[in-house]
Amino acid sequence: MSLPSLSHLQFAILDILEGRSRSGKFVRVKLAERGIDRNGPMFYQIMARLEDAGFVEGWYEQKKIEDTTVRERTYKITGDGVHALNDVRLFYVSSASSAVNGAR
Amino acid sequence: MTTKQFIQSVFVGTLVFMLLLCVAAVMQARQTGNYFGSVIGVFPYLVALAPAFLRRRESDRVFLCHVLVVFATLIVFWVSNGATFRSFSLTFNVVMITMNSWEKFPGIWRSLFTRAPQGEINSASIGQDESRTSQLAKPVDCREIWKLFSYCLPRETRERVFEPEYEDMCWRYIEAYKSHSGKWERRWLTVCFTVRTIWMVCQCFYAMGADTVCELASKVFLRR
Repeated sequence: MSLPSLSHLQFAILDILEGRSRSGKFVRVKLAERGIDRNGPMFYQIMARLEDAGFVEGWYEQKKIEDTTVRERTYKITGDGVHALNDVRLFYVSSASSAVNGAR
Repeated sequence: MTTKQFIQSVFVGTLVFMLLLCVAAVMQARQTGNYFGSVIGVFPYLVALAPAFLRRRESDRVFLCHVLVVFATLIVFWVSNGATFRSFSLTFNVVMITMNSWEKFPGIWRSLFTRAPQGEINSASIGQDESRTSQLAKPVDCREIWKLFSYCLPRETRERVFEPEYEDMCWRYIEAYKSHSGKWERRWLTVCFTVRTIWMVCQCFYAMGADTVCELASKVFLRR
């Protein structure tokens, strides 16, 4: 089995995005809960790279807070992203199972 | 008029003026947020200038001294209220009404008073200053100014990295703005978020540099 095409950080982001679209703010909070702390510009740089690779799709959503319109960057995982995520999962599962079998 | 009487006159006039101005200011601020936009707001000026008006025959120095005290006090209010031209012109009108015979002033003062818009002081116009009330209710919008900081970044970095983070920051700013209602608190928030914007631009430069280095490294070391 070949090495995964995603880094651990990209894997974590795609894992959070799986299932439904999420705002960038939400993804950052979830990453922080997993102990991955990145500042805003670094995080959005990673997201831009994921968009370039075609793993996620991003757009702005407009929201209103008391007559003030604020935009929010929202992301959704694409089909390629799901495929890459499953590949990496398979890689880790097979690696883990072979490690367990080796230990026995 | 002795020096003692002169000082007493200034002191009493200023004291009365300050007390009444405070009462009127609190009342008006509670209702509309406009300290100067009502007849009640005008009343303290008249009282403060009354001693000068009464002693006008004796000495013009007293009157001029009171006028200076009034303006010196108002500077504090201008600064704290956004230095509106409306309060400035209103003050001139009040002074002008107090001194009916303004033609007696020397040339420089006459020209000063003549410039003041005379039609402004009536209950209909000064009692309904909706623009100022709505201005106080709305958040201070510095977002366009903050956005200008981003123009020292390359376009690609600005659009891909700065803007999403900037929108998140605006969100946090509005939330913080809502939860702090004090005037100085809000001004301090604006200062804080300005500093954050500058710091964010620095972080964008760092992210841009790190990304370039990673890209070069991947091209050199990870050729597939």
